[in-house]
Amino acid sequence: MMYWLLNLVLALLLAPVLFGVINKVKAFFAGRKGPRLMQTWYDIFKLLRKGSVYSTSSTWIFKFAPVGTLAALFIAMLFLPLGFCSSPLGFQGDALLFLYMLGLGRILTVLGALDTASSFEGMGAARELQFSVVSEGTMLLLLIFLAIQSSSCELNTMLCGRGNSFWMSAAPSMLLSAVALYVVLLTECCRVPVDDPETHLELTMIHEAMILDNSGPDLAFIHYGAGLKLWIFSAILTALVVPADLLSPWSALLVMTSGCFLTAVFVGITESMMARYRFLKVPQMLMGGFCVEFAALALLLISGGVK
Amino acid sequence: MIFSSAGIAAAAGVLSLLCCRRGGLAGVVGLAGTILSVTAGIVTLCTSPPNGVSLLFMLPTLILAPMAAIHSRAYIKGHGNPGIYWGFFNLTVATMLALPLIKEFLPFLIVWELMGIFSFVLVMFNYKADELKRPAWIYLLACEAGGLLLMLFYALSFKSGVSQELFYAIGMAGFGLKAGFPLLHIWLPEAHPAAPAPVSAIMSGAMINLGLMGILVFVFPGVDPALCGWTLLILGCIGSLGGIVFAFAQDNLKRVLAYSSIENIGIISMAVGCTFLGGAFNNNTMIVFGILGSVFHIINHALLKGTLFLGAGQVFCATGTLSIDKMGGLMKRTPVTGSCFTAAAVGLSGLPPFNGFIGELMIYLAAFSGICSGIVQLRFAGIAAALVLSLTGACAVVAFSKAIGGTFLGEPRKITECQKESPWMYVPMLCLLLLSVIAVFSAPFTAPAIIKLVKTPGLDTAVAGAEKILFYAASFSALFYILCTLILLCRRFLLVRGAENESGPTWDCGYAKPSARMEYTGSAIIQNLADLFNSFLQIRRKVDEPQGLFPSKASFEWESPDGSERFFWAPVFKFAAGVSDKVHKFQSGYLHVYVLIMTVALIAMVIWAIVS
Repeated sequence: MMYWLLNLVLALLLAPVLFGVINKVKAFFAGRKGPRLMQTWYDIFKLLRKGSVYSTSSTWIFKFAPVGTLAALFIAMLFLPLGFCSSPLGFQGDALLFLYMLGLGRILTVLGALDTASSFEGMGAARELQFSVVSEGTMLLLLIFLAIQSSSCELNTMLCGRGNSFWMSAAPSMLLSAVALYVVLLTECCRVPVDDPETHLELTMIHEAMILDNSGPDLAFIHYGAGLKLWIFSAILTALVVPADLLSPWSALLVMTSGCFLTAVFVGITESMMARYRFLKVPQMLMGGFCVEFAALALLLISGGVK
Repeated sequence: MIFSSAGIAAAAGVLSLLCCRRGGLAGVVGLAGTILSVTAGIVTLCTSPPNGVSLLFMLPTLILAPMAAIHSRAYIKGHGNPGIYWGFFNLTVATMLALPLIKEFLPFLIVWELMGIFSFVLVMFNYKADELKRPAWIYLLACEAGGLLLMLFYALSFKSGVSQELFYAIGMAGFGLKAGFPLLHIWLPEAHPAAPAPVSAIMSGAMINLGLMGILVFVFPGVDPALCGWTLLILGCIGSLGGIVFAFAQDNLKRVLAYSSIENIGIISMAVGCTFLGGAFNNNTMIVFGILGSVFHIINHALLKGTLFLGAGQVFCATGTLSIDKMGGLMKRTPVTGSCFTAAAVGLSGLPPFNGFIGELMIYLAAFSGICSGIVQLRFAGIAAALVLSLTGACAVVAFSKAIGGTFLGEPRKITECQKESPWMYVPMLCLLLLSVIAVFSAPFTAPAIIKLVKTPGLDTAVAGAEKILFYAASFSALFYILCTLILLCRRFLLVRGAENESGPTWDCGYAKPSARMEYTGSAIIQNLADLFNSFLQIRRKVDEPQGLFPSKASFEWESPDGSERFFWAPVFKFAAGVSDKVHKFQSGYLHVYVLIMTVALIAMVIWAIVS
């Protein structure tokens, strides 16, 4: 419990730093120096000190959306076995509450975007909704995959209670699952090739387009929430691939944190190596991810790597 | 005694009909009658609860009837004769309250038919409107077809030597027509938009459940539970996914809600199917989660869909249209309705912290306990149910984002005039929402009572597990509220210190004159997804492309008519009409031709008798 709390605090502090890592990697590939590691934190603090401008078109939904999204993401984080320590708040079925908290964050962001009456934000909302249908399906298949491996529906057990030998017994399906989860991560966290958080060409954006009208503390909440989301998905990816049952708490903490940063490095490399896809191509990639996860599940069921 | 509430409602209905000439009096009698009968119903339930599932199927009616009645007071003003409305409203409520209590099939069938006819009058209430004729006709046909099938079902139950499969299929189809199972659902998207909003609320939240009840009480006893489970599960999967995909492609607000009812009845069937499968394979956790999931979802659907339909009624009264693409910006002018609608829609998408999530969580857990059970069939069923449920949930988010965004958010698109909202209309919505918040926090305490009602022994450990999960789910809902309050307070503190809050126009990326015409409409929001699902939806497009260097006009229209109607029922009815046309030649009107036909028939029968 103490170790989990320590991990939670660490996650809350380090989540925005992941963006710094991604940007550093991208700068390295581009031969630039890049913004500082802590840049997102500086941005957040600067935004917190500013006032907000609210559009005359918007209503309470626009003002509530960033707040509700951040709260939902925070609650989603509480169920994760951060640092491979069991979350004391976990319960049977928390995997679904986790999934639906992410969904709640999404619908709030979308409604906030639609509330501004801006055509760009409508565009972003429409794209987010389209992609979310597939990525949520993939995420659920992944949960089923984990539930079969662990015979449980609690994220603690699903991620850390699968023994140490799942790579031996079901290597191909583990590999496919990791790939599918990486695709979901890129979608949910709005990274290249799905979305480009760096461009400010409004026509090409998804997440950034939805938050065009947010400012001040609201924008700070959104940036921080985006960091939390990236940490959440990196932590799941780390826990999915690393069998860490036998690690001591401190080394587990180290493994988890470095796993998250390594994921950020991977995201940075992906972004440096490829351009954003055309929007018509993104659903194909997501469908690909869905099929890959489906194949992983089918392989697991057929190969008998099941308890 | 047990029928007292239905009796009071029926008496109130007859009284209101008698007061036809004096609208005001009929309104008072009708409203008082509904409230009195519901009070009587609740008192009866508390003092001498009827056993089994009947209570569970009475609850939605008991909750929705008074709310819809209060809403009706404002809704039907200036829409025809209140005496007739209140008369048939109460009579419909009476039949709906009576049905769950009837255990014999023949009286059940009679009351069932009466329910269809009474509610048909309600659907037809605004009979002077031309666009109402087709929906009302379809509704009447669906009711009567269902009634005929049930009569056939009753008749066949006395005859031995009938194939069992056919017998049960006829019963399923008869009740399925009311429940809105896939292919049999055609009346829902037609009748719901046509009926007055409070009537749609009752029909969607309470009446379609009765179809499911009929199947459970009269068709399924005696059938192999595994077969029941698979049937309901497959029907539920198709219904929920198909329903919600059609829901987001609709432009009419009440059609969106009608298709969402098909989706929700699908989800409930999936839950019941999981229960039966759990029973067939002796999986106690699956049984408990399945029962809880179906019961919670029935109640939640009644509460939330009731709110949504009443909200749609308010929108219709305020703007005079139901087309989502024409509205927009209603949140600023009808704030209470908009907020209630938003909350209920988010809840019905199955998202926490509202009660829709509690039901869906239970159904997911039923599916996951199947997945974890190690039995191949259960694992397959669980994967199918969970996957369909998650895709349905994601599509529901799309459908309701579109409905909320298009109707209430942004700036007004075409309809700029809007009347004020009336407390008669929004107070019932607030009550329903309050009940749904209570439903979240009371779920851990009601769960054991529900299991006790269904009376399945030997489930104690599983029930205790479910209670614990519900307790957790309720606490995290509470935590969400608390966290939101904290962050809101924090922002208020920060903004006071920053002290430079201003309001201005929406940032439109440097464009000088943004107008409401540039806004994304409801159809635009879902266009990407509609394209993705177009092989299923088969959307009808009418494009008039701009021509030349200086195009003078261009237009684009699209609509998404019901798939089963276009590709199944229309060809079937066309074929039937063709056959009837050919047979029609015999019906010439000349007496001697008829005599000739009869003679030929007689001779043929004699020959047949001799030969065999």
